[in-house]
Amino acid sequence: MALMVGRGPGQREAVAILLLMGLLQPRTGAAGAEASCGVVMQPRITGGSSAKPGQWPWQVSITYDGIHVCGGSLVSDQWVVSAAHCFPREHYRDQYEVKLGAHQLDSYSNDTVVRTVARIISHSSYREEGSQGDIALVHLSSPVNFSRHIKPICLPAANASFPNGLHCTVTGWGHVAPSVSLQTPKPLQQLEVPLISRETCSCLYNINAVPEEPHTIQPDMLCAGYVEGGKDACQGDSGGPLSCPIEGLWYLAGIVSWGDACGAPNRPGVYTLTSTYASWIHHNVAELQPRMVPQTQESQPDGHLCNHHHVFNSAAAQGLLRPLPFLPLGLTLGLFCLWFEH
Amino acid sequence: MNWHFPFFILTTVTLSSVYSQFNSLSLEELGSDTGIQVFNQIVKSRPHENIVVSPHGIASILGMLQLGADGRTKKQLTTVMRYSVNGVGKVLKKINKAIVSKKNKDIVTVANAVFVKNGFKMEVPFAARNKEVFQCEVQNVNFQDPVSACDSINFWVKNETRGMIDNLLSPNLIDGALTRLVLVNAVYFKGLWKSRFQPESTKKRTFVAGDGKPYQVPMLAQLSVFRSGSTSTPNGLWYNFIELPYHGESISMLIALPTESSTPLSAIIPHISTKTIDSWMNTMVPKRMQLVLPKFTAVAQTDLKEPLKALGITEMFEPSKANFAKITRSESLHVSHILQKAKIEVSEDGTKASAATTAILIARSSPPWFIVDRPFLFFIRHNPTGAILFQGQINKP
Repeated sequence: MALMVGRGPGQREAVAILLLMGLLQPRTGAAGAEASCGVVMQPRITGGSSAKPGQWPWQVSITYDGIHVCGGSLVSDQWVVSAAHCFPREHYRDQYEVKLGAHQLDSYSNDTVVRTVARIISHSSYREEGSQGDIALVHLSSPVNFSRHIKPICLPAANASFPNGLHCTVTGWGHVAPSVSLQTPKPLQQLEVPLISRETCSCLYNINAVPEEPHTIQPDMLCAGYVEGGKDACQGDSGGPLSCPIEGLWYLAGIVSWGDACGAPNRPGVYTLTSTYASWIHHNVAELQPRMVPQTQESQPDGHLCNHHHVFNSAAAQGLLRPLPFLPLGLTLGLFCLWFEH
Repeated sequence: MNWHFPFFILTTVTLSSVYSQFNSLSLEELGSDTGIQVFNQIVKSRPHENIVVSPHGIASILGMLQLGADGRTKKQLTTVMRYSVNGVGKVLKKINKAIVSKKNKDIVTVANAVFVKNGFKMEVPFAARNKEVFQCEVQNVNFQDPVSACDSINFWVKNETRGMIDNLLSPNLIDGALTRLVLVNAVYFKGLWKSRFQPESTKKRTFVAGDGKPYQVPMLAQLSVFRSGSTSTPNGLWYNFIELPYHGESISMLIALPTESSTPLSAIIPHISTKTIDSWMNTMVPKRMQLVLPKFTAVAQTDLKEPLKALGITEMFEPSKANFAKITRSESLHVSHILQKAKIEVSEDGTKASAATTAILIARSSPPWFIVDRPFLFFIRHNPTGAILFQGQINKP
């Protein structure tokens, strides 16, 4: 910001160095990359609500043919991390656009920047919705300038671990309930969700499971949400960030991927565990350096979330199996009359 | 007079396998096509109403009339229908059986009856052929007492339609001295969606009705994989269509909606025939979609006389010209009324919870929407035969 105030070239250089030093400060405790990520000024608000402008400056909207399809997270000035399923094979790359710095998706703002997409790298192990490898790197056509509304989030290193129960935040412009789209002007929504261990999540997904349609929580997945349901990410949130705060920095712990319905009991949201792909990310884009995450607290067992006292009866909650007839019918008749011939 | 149309080839097609695909227009499609043409005539005079008809029912009743007609009266019927029931009776019989087959899982009942005046001398082959081809029963009634005649016919109808349609006939339509015969066809369909709509997803949404005004109506919503597509009329007006299968999978509802809200339904209706519907079926591709559709009930009673006349079936209504010599030789008959009453209910009910049960549905990317929030057309199609059991236009749910 200081760069913008008119100064001579020599001074500019000096300021640049100062700035760099400032950035180096929060690095204490974390090795490697500079802390030019995961920083926001505002305090956060929790519970499914509208965010404040600039509160989640790494959140981007990915559109296809002008229509919002997915979210994504800015991780550098030219790269966005999203979900592989947002980029089906049959889609054309040049139909995608990335909107950065947006708050209300339906209203125009000077803070918003739009970029086309130069390249999409989807993980090769991704096969279909619900499979592993639901991660993609999106290369923007040109770099963006960071601003109060546009900033990157930190990518967690491979050995990062986020403890069960940690309160993270999922954000997006997706549906606010199954089949209900966000109302215009579509302000960015945020929801605080506690992390759930993979074992407990598998256990929950086994409750009232349909055997022929198994939902497997793969090792590269992370769950977050509420056993009782009601609050969750939904259609349109895919690819967007599950942001977790550790020692004052925000990390991209997860990428919105899938879930059975949205907000159903015993069906927490399932996210791609970003740290699994730290080396894949770095291997594909050398400039992206995942960051060590300080180990602040031990993970406590959360198996009690899936014991029978806590389990919510999803069949009852969904009011299943009360089929009523669907009854169209038609009827024709012809009436014949006698005709008296003269 | 023989009518040599391509469908005669079809007599060699074994219909016992109801899932066989016909390459050209099948016989039933010709029949339903006549019904669709009748529908097109009806909506010309009532473009802003809700209309529901049974094209298959119309084809059945015209077929029954054909068996009793002779001379020019018969010729007009065969010209419009493009087949002679006598020539294709065996195939028609198989089709009619396939439509009501238990293989459908969804219940389809087609009931046909001839109510005859006590002591009326009816030609034996007419009754026999009707029974054979259309499973039509013959009952005697006393038309001299219009109220009780009406009651017994309405009772039969109500029974066959499981209570859905009552008071079809009013006593003033029966002339105690002149009425000799009443022909009735009832089509009843009870299906459950293959993939049910979640009641929690049903919400009031805005529907801009045929009168241009917005109304808040309950709408069903479902994220699922639907087969859909789009096409344009010869003058370049685009419309979209989508298939909603019933649980037995042999019957589907098809919905057609103009792409631009400025395109009126009346602009696409003349373009639609069984041939068009066949091309929809062949071009639709399965896609993950978010469907929003009004929950509605529509009932319509339609007088088919004028629409049939407009199509060229005129003589049977004219006392001096009608020739039904094959029904009876002892008296001259003509058709005084030909009415159809149809009713449809569209609700959430289906056999299977739709929400996110397959891999493609659990993903959280935003699907394309198919929102039926303005006047639309629907068809209920028996896919193995191509029969259009019901067709309607909904201007205001």
